Amino acid sequence: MMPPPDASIPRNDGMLPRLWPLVALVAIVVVIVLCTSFAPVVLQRRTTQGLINLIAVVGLYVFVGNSGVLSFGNVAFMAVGAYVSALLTMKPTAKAVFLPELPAAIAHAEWTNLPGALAGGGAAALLALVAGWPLMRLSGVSASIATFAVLVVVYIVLGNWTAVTGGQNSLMGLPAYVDLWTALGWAVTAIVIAFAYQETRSALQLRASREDEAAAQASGVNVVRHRLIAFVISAFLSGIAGVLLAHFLGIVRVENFYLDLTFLIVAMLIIGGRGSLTGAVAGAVVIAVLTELLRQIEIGVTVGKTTIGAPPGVGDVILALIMLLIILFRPNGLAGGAGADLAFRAKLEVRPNWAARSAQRRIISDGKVDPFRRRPVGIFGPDLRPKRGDDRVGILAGVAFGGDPFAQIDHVIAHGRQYLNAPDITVARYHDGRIPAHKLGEHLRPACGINVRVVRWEPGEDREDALLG
Amino acid sequence: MTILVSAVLLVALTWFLRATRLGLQMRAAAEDFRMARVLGVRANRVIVVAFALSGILAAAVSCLIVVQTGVVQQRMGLQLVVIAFVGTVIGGLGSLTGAALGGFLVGAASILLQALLPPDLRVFREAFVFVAVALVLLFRPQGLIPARGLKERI
Repeated sequence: MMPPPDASIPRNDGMLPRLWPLVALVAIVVVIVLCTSFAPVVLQRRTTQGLINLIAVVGLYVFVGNSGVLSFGNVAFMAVGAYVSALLTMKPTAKAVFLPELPAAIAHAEWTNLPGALAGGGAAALLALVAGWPLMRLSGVSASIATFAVLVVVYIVLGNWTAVTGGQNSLMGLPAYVDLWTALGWAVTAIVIAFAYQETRSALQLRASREDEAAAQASGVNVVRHRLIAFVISAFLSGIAGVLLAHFLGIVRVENFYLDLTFLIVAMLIIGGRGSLTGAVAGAVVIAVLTELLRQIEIGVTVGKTTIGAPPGVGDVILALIMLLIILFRPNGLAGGAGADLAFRAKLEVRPNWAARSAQRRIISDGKVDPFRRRPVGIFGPDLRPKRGDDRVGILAGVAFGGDPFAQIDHVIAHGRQYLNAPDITVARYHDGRIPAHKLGEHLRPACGINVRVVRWEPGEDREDALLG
Repeated sequence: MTILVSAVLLVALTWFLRATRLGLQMRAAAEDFRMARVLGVRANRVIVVAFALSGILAAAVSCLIVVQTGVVQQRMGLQLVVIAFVGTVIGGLGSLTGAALGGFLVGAASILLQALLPPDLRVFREAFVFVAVALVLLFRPQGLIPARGLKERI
């Protein structure tokens, strides 16, 4: 039956250690902003812009970091957020001048700032839901190109839908309400949302699919659904970043939301380390600080009447070189997958003491089997015996993710009888009885004569949703 | 002229990939990087050569474009790179035929839409092209002509 539990593995010691990265990140951002709030206005404006970029990077991270799929489409969501919020908050008189052909409902709308921002984020999320529905089925480069297609389509539509967006002309006259503190508030909110999301079961399953898509799917992870959830949240945050950028500049130009911004945001994420929230924040902060420093060098020092400074354009070259060096020496980014991910790793390494928890192993979930497709739905603990004639299948499987996925099968019960004990499965196993998770499904099928879906179950966890994913 | 140069370059590239030692190593590295290294392919050198090769081809393309349009501009390559990248992916990464076909299809679709769309919709031409790209990817995620080695084995 079950291999003996390993008592030496540390237990999860509660919520606080897990919250550490969040507290640290928020504290760093707040301290930086507090410092610059005493600085000249120019620097304050640069910091505000930096914070907006940070929100965009965090938004991108929510999808890219958790799913492992690079997205070039998030700037499109920024653009959508910017335009929606701009159109809703502009004064009707201004709209009558710039956009005479606007539909009446939008032309007369005069929303306040916060509802406008939320509507912008919401519109972006809605677009992500619609576009992501088909596109999240793709993986790898195909998925990246598909998100890039979203970017191009949105750019072209916004740039040519003259009646509503003003087309190639800029939208002007929207309230420029975003200052340092608004941006700070949203930045902290974005970090908290991203952190809260990555602690959810959905994000955990998504990261499992990032490590090994096939193994995750074989373990019952609905990759498409979890990707879509991440995509929508990511789009909402990107939309908010777009809203803030629009109301920071007081002007919306479709050109501002295209390749340049896309490359900037993606570069920030990759340089920081796309595997963790810490990386996302670190990338945004480091690049912003470097850009500012190099800009100061370009401006130079004025001594008397002569200005000593680097020729214009050198800053960009140096920045590119520094980014190249960072990537060469730290291919996983500055954070290198550390930081916020440590909490994640700690969570995975917990293997509860099986003996002590056996009392918890009772019915975990119940369900009916579609008699035609004979797909197992119910999952039971080992001490449950379904009644004779029950059209139910039970699997007890624990699969640990990360690096070395494996599953331990206790037994399979289907149609009221026990089909096999773990030692009966003729699978190439590890010496201690573990079985590669992605092989489980295909080996169980001939062994039981039924289709078996292997589910992921962390021992000791008895939440129903854990198993139905 | 353009067609002639393209044809010559394509034939030359095919010859290089199929008939030379370095080309063979390149294809091996594309198929299974680690295995190629284990078998003694100097993978880093192969990648450098591949990168240089793509540089040569890009230079040839830019010459053709400049001769055709008579304009030199620092950002003129961006649009082309985008088309090339998209073309490669929908054609099938890792296969030369796929890349050629993909690039050709994206270009042809663009021109056809320009000619066939009603004037009102013509400005949205690129949007249509990219919707089509997304559709192609949905139905053939590995590209139109996928390379044999790239299929994920479990």
